[in-house]
Amino acid sequence: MNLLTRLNQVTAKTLFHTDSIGSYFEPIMQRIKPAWRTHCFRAQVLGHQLLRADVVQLDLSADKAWPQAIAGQHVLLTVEINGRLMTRPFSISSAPDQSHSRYPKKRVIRLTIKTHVDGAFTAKLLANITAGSYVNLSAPQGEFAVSDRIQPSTPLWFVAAGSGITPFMAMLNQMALLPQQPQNPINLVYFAKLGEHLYVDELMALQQQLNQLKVQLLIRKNGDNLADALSDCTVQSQVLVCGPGQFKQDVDRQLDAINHPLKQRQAEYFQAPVMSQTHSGEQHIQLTQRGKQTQLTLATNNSLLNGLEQQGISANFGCRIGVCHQCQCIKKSGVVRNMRTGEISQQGEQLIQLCISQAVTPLELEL
Amino acid sequence: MNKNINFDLLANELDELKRQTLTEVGTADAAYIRNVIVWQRALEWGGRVLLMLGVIHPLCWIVGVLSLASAKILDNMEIGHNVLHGQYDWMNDPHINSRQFDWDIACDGKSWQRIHNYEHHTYTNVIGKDRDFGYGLLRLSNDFSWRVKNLWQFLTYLNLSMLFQWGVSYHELAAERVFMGKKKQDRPSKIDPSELKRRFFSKGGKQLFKDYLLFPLLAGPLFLWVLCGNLIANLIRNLWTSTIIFCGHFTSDVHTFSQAECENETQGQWYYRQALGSSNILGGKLFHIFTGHLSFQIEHHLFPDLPSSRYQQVAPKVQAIFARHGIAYHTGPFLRQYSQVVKRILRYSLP
Ligand code: FES
Repeated sequence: MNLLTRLNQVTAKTLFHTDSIGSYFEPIMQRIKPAWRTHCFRAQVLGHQLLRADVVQLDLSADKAWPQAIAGQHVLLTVEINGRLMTRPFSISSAPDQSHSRYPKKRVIRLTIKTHVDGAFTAKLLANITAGSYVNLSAPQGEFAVSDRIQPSTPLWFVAAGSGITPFMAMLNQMALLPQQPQNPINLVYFAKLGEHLYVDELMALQQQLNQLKVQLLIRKNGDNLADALSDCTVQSQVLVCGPGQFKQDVDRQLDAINHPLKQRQAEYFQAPVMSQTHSGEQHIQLTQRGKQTQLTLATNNSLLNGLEQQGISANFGCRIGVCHQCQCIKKSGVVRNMRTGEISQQGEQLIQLCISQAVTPLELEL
Repeated sequence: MNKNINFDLLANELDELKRQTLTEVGTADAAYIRNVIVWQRALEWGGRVLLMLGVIHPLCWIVGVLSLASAKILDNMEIGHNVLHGQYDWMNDPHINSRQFDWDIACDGKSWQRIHNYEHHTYTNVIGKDRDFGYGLLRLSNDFSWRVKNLWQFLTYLNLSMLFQWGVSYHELAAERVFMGKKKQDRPSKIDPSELKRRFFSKGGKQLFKDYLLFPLLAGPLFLWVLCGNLIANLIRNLWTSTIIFCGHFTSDVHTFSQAECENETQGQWYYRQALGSSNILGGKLFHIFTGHLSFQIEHHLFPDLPSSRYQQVAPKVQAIFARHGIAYHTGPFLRQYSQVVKRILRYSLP
C-alpha cells in the first residue's frame, strides 16, 4: 500500500470514522454530481438506441481516468434503480479507438444490452437513465481477448450465440482499425433466432474491410448446425466462444470430437439463473473466507447458516432469527430466498443474512 | 404472558405490515438518509468553524457548540444507530451499510452490534439476558435483589448519562468481565478479550485525540475554547441519547420477562414481548429525526431493520393492530415519559 493511500485511511479513520476521505464526503459530492461514487469511474450517457425490441445499445463516454479496455473485455455497470445501486457485467461491443459519427471527438464505449421484461436491472434500465445523465463503471475486466502472441498463420474462430456477439464486435472493429490487416483467417460463426442477428450491416461492412474475415449468420431453426459451421475448424485454430452456458458446452463437444486442444479455447458464457435445485436437493456454493476459496454443496431446504455450520464452517451469528444482522455476508452472485418473507433476491451483489436465507441458485458468498 | 392473545394472528398481521411497507421502500428512503447525512456533515463542519470564530463574538461559539452537538446527535441516532441495524443495507451503498459503517462515538460499531443488535434486540427485557436492562449498574425492577449501592443509584444514573458514550463502549467489556470480576460460565463469547481491549482503546483513543487534542490545537490560541466546546457538545449528545433510550425502555408500564417465559417462543410471542418491553414518545417530525426515530421504540423493536424513514408511517397501523389484539401501546409526551423514568430509578433505589 502506498503512503498516500495509507495517509488517506488513517486520516479518514481518525477524523471521519470512515474507510476513506472520499466515502465521508460522498453524500455531499452526490449533491453536485449525482452519480459520484468513490469506488467507480463515471461515464456520461450519450444516448441509447433500441436495436431490437429487447436489445438496447448504450453509448457512454467515460471519465478521462477510466483505463482503456482491451477489445473483448467487459465492465460492471452500476445504476441506481429505485434507491438501490445495482451492478451488472456487460461486454463492450465497440473497439477502443473506434470513432462514432454520431459523437465526433468523444471517446465512446458501446454496450449492447439484452433486456428481460421481468429483469430487475435491464427492464428498468432505460427508465433510470437519460442522455446526459451519469452512470458508474468499473475498470475494464476479463481475459477474453485475442492474444497478441498469436501467430499470423493461426486461424481464428469466433463462435457466438445471441447477445454473445458483443465482445466479437469489439475485436473485429479493433482489427479493422489496425494499420496492417491481420493475416490470420478469421471465421465468425454467429447463431441467432430468425431476424434476431445484431449488427448485420456492421458485420457486412467489416467483411468488406477485412479480407480474411468470413461471416456465417446461422439460424438453428433453418437447419443450420454447429457441426457444419465448424467443419473447417482445425486443431491449430484458436477458438473463442461467447454465448449461453449450454451453447458453450455444445461447442466444446464439437471441438472435442476433432481433438481440438483445450488450451486453444477461450470462452465467456452466461448462465441464466437456474431457479431449481439439483436433483438431490443441493446447491453449489463458492465461498470466500479471508481470501481463501472453498467449494461446497449445501442442502437447499436448510438455512445457509445451518448449512455452513454442518460443513464445519463457522460464520458469525447472533440471534438466528433474522433480527440482529450479525450473520451478514456478501452475496457476490446468485439468488437466495428469504425464509421469513419468501422473497426472492436479485442476482447481483448484495448483503444477505445467512440465518434466514436459502440458496435458490448456485451462489458465490464472501464471509 | 397473556394467554388470551392469538399470537399466530398477531404475527401474521405484523409480518404482513412489514412486508407491505418494504415493498414501498425505495428512492425516497435512499434520498432521505443521504439527506440526513448531508445535514450532519454541514452541522458538524459549520459547528467546528463557528467554535473557532468564538474569538469574534461568543455567540458564534455558542451556536457552534449547538451545531456540533446536533451533528453528533444525528450521527449517533438517525444515521449510526439505524445504519448499524442494517436498515439501509438494501441500498447496496458501499458506505451506508451495517457491515462497514462506524460512528462518531467512543464505541466500536461492531461491539455495539454484538451487544445491542444481537443481545438487546433478541432478548429484549429478559432478565439475565438483556444487559441493556439497567446496564449492569441500575436496579429497575424487582427482578433484582436490592443492594446498598442502589441507594444512590440516581447519582449513578446521572453519571452514566453524562458519560453515556463511554458506558456504551465499555458495555461489552463489562459483560465479558474483561477487566474486573469473574467470567460467567454460560456466556459464550465470540471474541477474544485482548481483541476487545484493543478495539476499545483504539476507537476511544481516536475520539479523544480528535476532539480534545487535534481540533483544539488547530485553533491555536483558542485551544481552550475549542476544547470546551467539543466537551460540551459531546456532553449534550450523551445526555440526549441516554435520555431518549431510557424513555424507550424504563417508563413505568414497561414489562420484564424471565428466561423461562421466553423459552421456545413463537414469532407472535416475540412480537408481544417487544411490544411490552418498549414505549414511545410523542413529538414532531424534527423531534423524531433527532431521536433517530427511537421515539418509535415500539415499532423499532418490532421491525429493527425497517428503514427509520418508515416508522412514522407504520406507527398508526401498529397501534391499530395492538388495539385489535388488546395489547397496550405505551406512548406519551416527553415530559410524562421522562418523569416515569426518574420515578422508576428512584423507586427501585429502595428495597
Ligand atoms: S444471526 Fe441474527 S440476523 Fe442472522
